[in-house]
Amino acid sequence: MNIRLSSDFLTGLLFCSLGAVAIIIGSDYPVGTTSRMGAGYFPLVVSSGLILLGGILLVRSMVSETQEVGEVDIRPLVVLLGGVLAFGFLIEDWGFPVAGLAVVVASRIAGRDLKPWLETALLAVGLVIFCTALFSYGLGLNLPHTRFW
Amino acid sequence: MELFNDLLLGFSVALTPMNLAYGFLGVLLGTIIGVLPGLGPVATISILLPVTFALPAPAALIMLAGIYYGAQYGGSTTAILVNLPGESSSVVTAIDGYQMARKGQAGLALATAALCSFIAGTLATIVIAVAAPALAEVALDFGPADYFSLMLFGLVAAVILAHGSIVKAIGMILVGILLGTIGIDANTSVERFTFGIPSFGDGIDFAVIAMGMFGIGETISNLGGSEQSRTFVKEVKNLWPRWADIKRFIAPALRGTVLGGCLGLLPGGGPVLASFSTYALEKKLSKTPGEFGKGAIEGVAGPEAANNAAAQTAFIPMLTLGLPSSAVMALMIGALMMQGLSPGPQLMNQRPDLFWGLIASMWLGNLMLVILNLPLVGIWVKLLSVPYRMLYPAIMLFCCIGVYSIHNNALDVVLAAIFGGFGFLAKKLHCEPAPLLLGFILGPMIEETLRRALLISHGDPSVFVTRPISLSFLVLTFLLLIVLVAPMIRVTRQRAFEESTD
Repeated sequence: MNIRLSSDFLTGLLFCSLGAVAIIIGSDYPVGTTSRMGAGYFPLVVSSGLILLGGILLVRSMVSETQEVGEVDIRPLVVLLGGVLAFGFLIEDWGFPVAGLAVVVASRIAGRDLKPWLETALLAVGLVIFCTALFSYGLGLNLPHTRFW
Repeated sequence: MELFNDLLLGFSVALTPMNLAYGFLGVLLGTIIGVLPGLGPVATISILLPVTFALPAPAALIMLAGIYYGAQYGGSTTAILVNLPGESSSVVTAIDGYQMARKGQAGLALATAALCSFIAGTLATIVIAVAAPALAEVALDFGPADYFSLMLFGLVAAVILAHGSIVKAIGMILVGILLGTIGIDANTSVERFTFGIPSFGDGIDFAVIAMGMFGIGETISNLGGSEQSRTFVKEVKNLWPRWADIKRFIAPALRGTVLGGCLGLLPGGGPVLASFSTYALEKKLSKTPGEFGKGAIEGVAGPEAANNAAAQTAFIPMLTLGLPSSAVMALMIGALMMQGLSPGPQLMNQRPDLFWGLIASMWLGNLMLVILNLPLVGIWVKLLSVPYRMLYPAIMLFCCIGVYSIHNNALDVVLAAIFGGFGFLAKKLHCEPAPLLLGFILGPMIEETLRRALLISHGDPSVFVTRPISLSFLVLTFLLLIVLVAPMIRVTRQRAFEESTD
């Protein structure tokens, strides 16, 4: 996907919205006084600064020529993040071996390397065995086992 | 003779068989991840952090430190042989190192890199041993206002050192500071930005953000680009430099050590900036600047010395002030706190064995690295022939395990995925992830010192200019800001980074 928008414009938008969201969520936090600052004082100052900077970027993107974002490859972004999320959702109920296989296979799909199948399968199984041996038994990390073994 | 006794104590700690073994393990792991592109010291140390909990404090610190400076050595091997920096700090080494390798001088280039790193490492260890106790003494006088001004100075310095747009760099720092406010406010117990999720009460773990943005985010962008064909130099011979070569590289190595050692002290500076500046300096000083870029030995010697010196002096603010100047140092502080120790000026008196043991282990580690990297270079060449399609699934799996095992919390993995996506987005928008991390690390400390300073002064902001230490940092910050806006320097800064990306 080719995004022909200015990267300054989008960054400005990002900074402004992050700052605004923080101010809205933080509006309940007591601000206090300069000598006795409440919980809301510092986040308010920082968020305002962020909105100011975002504004500068927005203005700059309108008055001068700026760099475009350019080509964005969606596939690795979606599939790789999907793999990590799958690991997070699988690990507690299905155990590390299943979650580990999922993340390795998803990574190979993300990188368009699913074929050759045999290599992917061997890599996934090999890595999971290696990590179980190294992290669970070798280093004593507490990785959940799969229920059915 | 106190220094001598202290160092003796340090060596007696570092030379115990267990600490030697962990030190060796650290530098070995560091070399491996340094050689392999795509897995850096930040991700590796984060993964191993939960493991170190079971170790005694000196062994844990010695191993983690070993990973960090081991990666500097390993990174240069990849840079020289493949023209691909294994670590960001060896980008500069690739310029002349690879050219030397193509001319059949791969052995000489590797030896120069390793020996110059060793010289720098040795000198930097001495500097730490001399300067750290003195600085710790001064640091005892630091009040909250002084810490605040020091960190402000550090953040402004970090902005100058960031690539690309200054406005974006400041913005990323602020986003990092804002992320750092997540959790229960220490002073008033108000829950901030926790969205009602109990595990957010302690804030987001630094390692989650680091692995998300650096581990996952980087992999996404690597997969997006077309795979570059790598042509690498397999033949390594004539490892030992001749006397004439040594005479050529000794002066650049010493200059690189001095410059790198100073820049390593700055927050956000560190090895990357040190190697760039030294390369520029050597090119200026050289009688034959035309040779640079075509295989000049000085272009390998200076930057390699500088990045190693900077990697080591970065420990000074961490050990004496408790201030992390980089992501790796923040992880070191995390490791100390897991051991129940608080980094700061008291550390040296409370745990002299830990402090001096770590320093002594740095020198021993450097010695081991020369042996690991020169006679055993053949092994690393083999490691380089592992294709990337075998590596990135492993990197992703390691990141997932690392994130999960921080608190055995699956929510952290989900968060890391979010930060991975954010890291990729930021990269596409030409925003650097490093300033965000620095803001996240320093943010809570900045808020705390600001609140305490103003509480003590009853809300009077003049406390920041009436205390001499604070005032001097503010003056330095102001001078940096002038440098930042001065058009002439902006141009050179731009040029320096453009050269580096070629």
